[in-house]
Amino acid sequence: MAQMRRGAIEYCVLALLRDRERYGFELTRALAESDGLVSSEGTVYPLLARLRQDELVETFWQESAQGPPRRYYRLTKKGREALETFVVQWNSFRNTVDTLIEGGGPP
Amino acid sequence: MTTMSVDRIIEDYLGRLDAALDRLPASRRRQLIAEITEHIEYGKSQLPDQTESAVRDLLDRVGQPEDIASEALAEEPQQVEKKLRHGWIVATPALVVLVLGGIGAWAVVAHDHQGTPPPRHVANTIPKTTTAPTSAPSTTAPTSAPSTTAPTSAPSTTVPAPTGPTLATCTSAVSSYYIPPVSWFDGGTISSDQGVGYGCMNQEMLANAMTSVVNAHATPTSAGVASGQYALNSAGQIIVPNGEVIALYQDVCNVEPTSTLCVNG
Repeated sequence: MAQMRRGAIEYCVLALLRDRERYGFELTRALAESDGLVSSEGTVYPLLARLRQDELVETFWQESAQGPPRRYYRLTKKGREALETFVVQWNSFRNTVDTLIEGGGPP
Repeated sequence: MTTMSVDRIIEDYLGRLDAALDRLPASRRRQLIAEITEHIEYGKSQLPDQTESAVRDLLDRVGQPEDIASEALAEEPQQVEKKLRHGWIVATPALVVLVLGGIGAWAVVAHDHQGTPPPRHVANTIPKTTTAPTSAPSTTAPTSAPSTTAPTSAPSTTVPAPTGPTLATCTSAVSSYYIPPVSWFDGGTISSDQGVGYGCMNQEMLANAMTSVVNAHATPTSAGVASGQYALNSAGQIIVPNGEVIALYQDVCNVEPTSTLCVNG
């Protein structure tokens, strides 16, 4: 389960960034408040670093009216494609697992 | 609970994080610390009351430094392995030199003892003291590096200072410093580590970041000295902002004998 969770988290990050950019605090808090997804907000940053290294996300600074400039994360083209591929695979995987769990599998 | 003690709690936390991330490559480590520092500073700015309990609650949500380090290591096993290998590559020749040097020194001493009486006092040719300031530097670290007595004919090679938060955007305790790009001579290649370039961190963290990069590589470069990434004091020692000696001027010129700094120095 831990491995599956680890594999899914990065796509949850990409999904959170699908519609708009978010700053680090906002992004990590959203993940931490999703039940059981991450153990703490800080543990998301190593993942963000890797996603950036893999060019799935990129960062930029933006001035804020409420304080210091914030580092925002946004999806790259490569990241969007990776997310779209994952969504297709995940739906298929989820349907298969649901079928087996709920119906006991094919007769 | 005063503001200073709240800031001290955060500093202690970041210090623990810095120590926990010791096995990460230097640039990744600095990047991670900078991002988590931003996270904490933003979270702190959103607290209605910056009490000790509120700040501790904020840090609890960020997580234990050891857990973050564990996650970071899990994300970068190849890089860590590379760093460890690099450490051995650097350390092994150094160990050989140390052993051979020890044998040579023993031979010289033994010879002296046979021919002439031992000197009453052997002066250390490289004084341990440095001229580095201990007070907090200004907000732009490249210009706040310790004053240098480098030759005036030093090359004009400079690495552009990165932009980032200034002191006004950081707390008084976790001050803002630039982490200048650090360049080094590494087995025939002059490289530069840009890292995250800047962040809100105190002087100790800045110095640790600088030394960890320098320690991971062979020798600082003359361009690094000229651009203020390192400073050169009158004793010929290359130092980082906290005054720690990281190399000798001669070491730089041994690997870059044709640099302007060394030719004209």
